Amino acid sequence: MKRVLFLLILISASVGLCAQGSQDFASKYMQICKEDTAVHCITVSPKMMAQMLKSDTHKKEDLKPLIKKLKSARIVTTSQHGEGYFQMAENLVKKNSDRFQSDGNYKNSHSYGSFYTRKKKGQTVELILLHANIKERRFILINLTGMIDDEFKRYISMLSL
Amino acid sequence: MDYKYIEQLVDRYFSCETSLAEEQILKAFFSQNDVPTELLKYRDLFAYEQNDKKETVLGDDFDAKVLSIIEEPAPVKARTITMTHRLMPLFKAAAIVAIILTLGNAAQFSFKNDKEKSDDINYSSYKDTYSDPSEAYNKVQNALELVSEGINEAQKSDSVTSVRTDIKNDTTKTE
Repeated sequence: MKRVLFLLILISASVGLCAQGSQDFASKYMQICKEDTAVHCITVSPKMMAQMLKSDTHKKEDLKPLIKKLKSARIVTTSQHGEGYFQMAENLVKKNSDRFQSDGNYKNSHSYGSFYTRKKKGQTVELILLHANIKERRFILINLTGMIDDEFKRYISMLSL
Repeated sequence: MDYKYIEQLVDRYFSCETSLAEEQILKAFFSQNDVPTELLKYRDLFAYEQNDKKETVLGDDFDAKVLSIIEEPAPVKARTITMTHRLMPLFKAAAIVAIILTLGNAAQFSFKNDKEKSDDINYSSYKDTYSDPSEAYNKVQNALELVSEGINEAQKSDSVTSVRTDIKNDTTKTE
């Protein structure tokens, strides 16, 4: 009887551990910078995303289809040593190279950045932008999760035009 | 009947003046069945030895009896063990393994479904920074604008690199 109980406890414990789910990239990054007071993280949960859609906060109507497709957004910012924090993020991506693939990068006179995506069954479910501002020495990490399909990419590329 | 002598002896007994012979007389007197009622109260005092003797005590042959029982060889009953009895531990082990595998598969299946639903990410651990949706909206808007700028910049640099590679390819062909 004791053995059976022990087995059941062991199974339920392992099941519980498995059920916890994994973390997004921003969470992993924030774990590294746990004690760094210069790093700030803003979290917009799926619940808040739904609230945003319901409320009349839409100043720009073209954002609505984008927010509809998003589940969560996390924005990590630092106001100093941007290059260093950018490098840290890139190293973390490299460590998780089986999870995230490079999806383009850019560089201009004042900033540079890299895109990474995580795909599931051919569908992008997570988008990461690592952005460093050279002049202001700022670093921004944007971590979006949701249905990041071609339509989303088309909408978002039209946003800044 | 006159029991004055006995009464005198009893008095002397309580005064601790009786001899051993006199105490024997008292014991003999009180051990009889017919003791006058006025002296009956002293009976227990002098007849206790007789009562003690009546108590059951272990006999001399007790040790011998116990030893004979211990030394007696225990009867061994012959039992026929069937194949199913012999393989019972194996069946039990197989049943435990089967239960574990079934539970494992069931758990895996349910979590696979859960994971698919939640894109592998545990959103329950998310704590919103803003309670006001308009504040959150502004931040998301800024973030999306930055992503948009980045995508356009990346597309530009891609087209530049593709044009460069096209030119390179053309020049190598003409050479």
